[in-house]
Parts: sequence; C-alpha cells; structure tokens
Amino acid sequence: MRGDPVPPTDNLALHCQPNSGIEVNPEGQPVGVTREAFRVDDDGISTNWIEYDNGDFSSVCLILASIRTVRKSHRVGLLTVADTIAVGQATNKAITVEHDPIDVPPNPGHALIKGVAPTDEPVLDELALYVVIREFSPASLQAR
Amino acid sequence: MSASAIPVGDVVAGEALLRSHSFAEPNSGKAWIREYSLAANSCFGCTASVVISPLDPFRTGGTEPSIVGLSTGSARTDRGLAAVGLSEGVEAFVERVPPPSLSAARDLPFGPACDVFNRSMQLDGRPLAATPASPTILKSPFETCLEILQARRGLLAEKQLTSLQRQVSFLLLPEGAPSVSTGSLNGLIDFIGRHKPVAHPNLSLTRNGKFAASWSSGPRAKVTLTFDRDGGDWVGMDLTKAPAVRASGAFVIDSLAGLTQPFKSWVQT
Repeated sequence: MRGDPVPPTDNLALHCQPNSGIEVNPEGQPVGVTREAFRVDDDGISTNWIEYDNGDFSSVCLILASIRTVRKSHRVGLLTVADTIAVGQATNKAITVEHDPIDVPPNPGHALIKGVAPTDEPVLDELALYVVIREFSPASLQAR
Repeated sequence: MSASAIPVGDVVAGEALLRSHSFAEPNSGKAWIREYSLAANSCFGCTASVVISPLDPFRTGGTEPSIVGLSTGSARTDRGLAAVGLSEGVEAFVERVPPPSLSAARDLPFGPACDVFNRSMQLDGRPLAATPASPTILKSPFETCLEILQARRGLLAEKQLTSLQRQVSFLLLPEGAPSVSTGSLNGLIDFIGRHKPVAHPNLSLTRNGKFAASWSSGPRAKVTLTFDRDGGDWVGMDLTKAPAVRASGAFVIDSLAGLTQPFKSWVQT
C-alpha cells in the first residue's frame, strides 16, 4: 500500500537511457550508470519495485515498456533496497524506500527513494556505484 | 554489391556516385539519417536515393549501416534496383514517409525495413516521384561529435580514437541527444591527448550535454571527471576502504594537480 516501506530484501528497477546516465566502456558497451540516471523529483526518486505482486525482472521490463519508450540501447538499472538504505547511513541521510503506486499510467509497483534532494550529488554518486545494469528483456522490446 | 554492405561515406566504384547529407526527420527537426544518391548502371538509367541510418555498432556489432528507406527517380525501378542490389518495390521518400514508419523501420536491418515501408506505402503502380528537392540539412549532435573526433584525431592514439568513436556512437545513437557540448568533447580530447592515460576511461553524458569520463580501480571505487572546454569538476569515491574515501574538486585540462590521491593515480595508470 502507498507509503509502506519496501522490504530491504527486495530490489528496485530504473529505466536508464544512453544520453542521461549510462556509462559505456572503451568497447562502447554499457557497464554502469552515473548520478544522471536518477530523476530526483520533489517527492523522491522514481523506481519500480521488482518483487511487487510476485513480480520479477521480466515483468518489470514489461511494465517499464508499457509506460515509457524503451529501446535496445536502454538498460534496466538494478538497485537493492538494502544498498539504498546503506548509502543513506553512510552519508548521514535518512533515506527510505516507499511503495507509491501510480494510477495513470497504471504502475502499481512504483516506488520512491525518499530523503535525497537533487543537490545531494555525493549521495547520488554513491547510489550510482551500487546500480547494476541489464538489457531489457526481448519480450519488452517487442512489446514497444 | 549488397546494399546493406554500403559503408557510410564510401563510393561504389564504377557504377555509383555517392553523395551524403542529412535529412531532418519529418516534423521533428531531428537529423539522424543520411541519404546516398546512387547513379546506377547506365544500362538501366535509374537513379536511386538510399536512406541509410547512421552507424549503429551496438546493433550490428560493427560498422554496417541499416537502410531504412529508398526513393527512386525512374519508373524502371525494379531493374534499376536490381542493378545496385537493392530490394524491389520500395517507393518511400524520406519526406513523404510518415514519421511512425520511419521510427518503426529505423532500427531494422535492410530487409525488414523494406518490408515496413512496403506495408506502409501504397504501391499503386504510379510513376515514381522525383528525388526530394531542397532537403533540410541539419547536423546531428552525433555527426558533429564524429567530425570533431576526426578533425582532432592527431592528438589521440588510434585505439583512443576508436574507443571514443564507439562510445560517442552508443551515447548519441539512435535517438541522439537534445544537445551536446562540443566544448566538453574538445576538453576531453585535449585531456586524453595531454595526459595519455594508459587505461581509456568509461564515458557518459550529463543531462546538460557534457561528457564525463571515469576511471575505476574496483567495483566501488571510481573517479569521474566532467569536462568543460578548459577543465571541469571531478568527484572520487573509494568505498572499499574503511573509512570510505570521498573527495571532489575542480581540474584544468593541462594538469592533474587538482586531483587528490588515490584518484589522481587512477587516471594516470
């Protein structure tokens, strides 16, 4: 339910794009993200709770593809709730992760990382170090 | 010659004249494609204009472009197309093709792209229209960056140039970036040329179009330099140490003095 904390054992997904935050190695392959991958709004950083409603990586890919334009060059950034909270502790910020379902467009697994301001660049830099990126599932790319 | 093997900028010897310029995607103001005009074999008297998307290394794994549209200037399309090895029956003009069709086709290799155009365009046997007149010539951020890299390649080792081209291609293709700081790219080139780091950095873009280069000594240890023309800002973290090491500051292109250890050594080695 809205406002409920997301369990520390669970995972968050971010939609990452080449021209804002994806880092590529000398071979031109995406290997990580920078702080630019986080969209920090007034209410927090938008993510998707992967395990919401017994979801998994494939289902969150389909959800992201249903509400955004996803391309082969895009990536899903994965961040554990535990690491997110740990970054807060390490940087003396009260970071929490809360369930924040959205009705329009439908995104019942939406979650917010709260406690991080747009100007908290050191925190965002540290969060970025914990993000692991994966390609979108083939099914989600075909669904676009 | 297979049309799908025509490299960007190359000339098909003996039978074709290649001329490239960029088109704006209709109604978007965004340039992302190149047109090649091929004067086909004189036996067929056909002129074909082939629209080829920019290099997309992460799709093809190399340098092969994808042909996403075709227009012809002659009613003798089929034989003319066959003469240059192109698919028959494609009658799309860049300026006439509806944007959704362009968007749907541009990620596809040549064959499926032609299928998309075949389905989207009405093939009623009417005489084919002339080649587009007065195309809007816009240079995309990707093209601008590639030109800068080419123009300044003398400052870079071959491997560095190749890596930057690959990285810029991924970051700016296929959807491009709203804008890119050419000053930032020039600063990055100057920095790499000046300091010649043994390890080539990872590269990213900031939301305001600046290039950021990072060097890492491990999974949770990274220094990132964000470039302006004459220098920029850096931030370093090493979370593997207890306590964790964090630092930031400004730097100038010609000197690493603005960076503190251990981050300076990560850039140098």
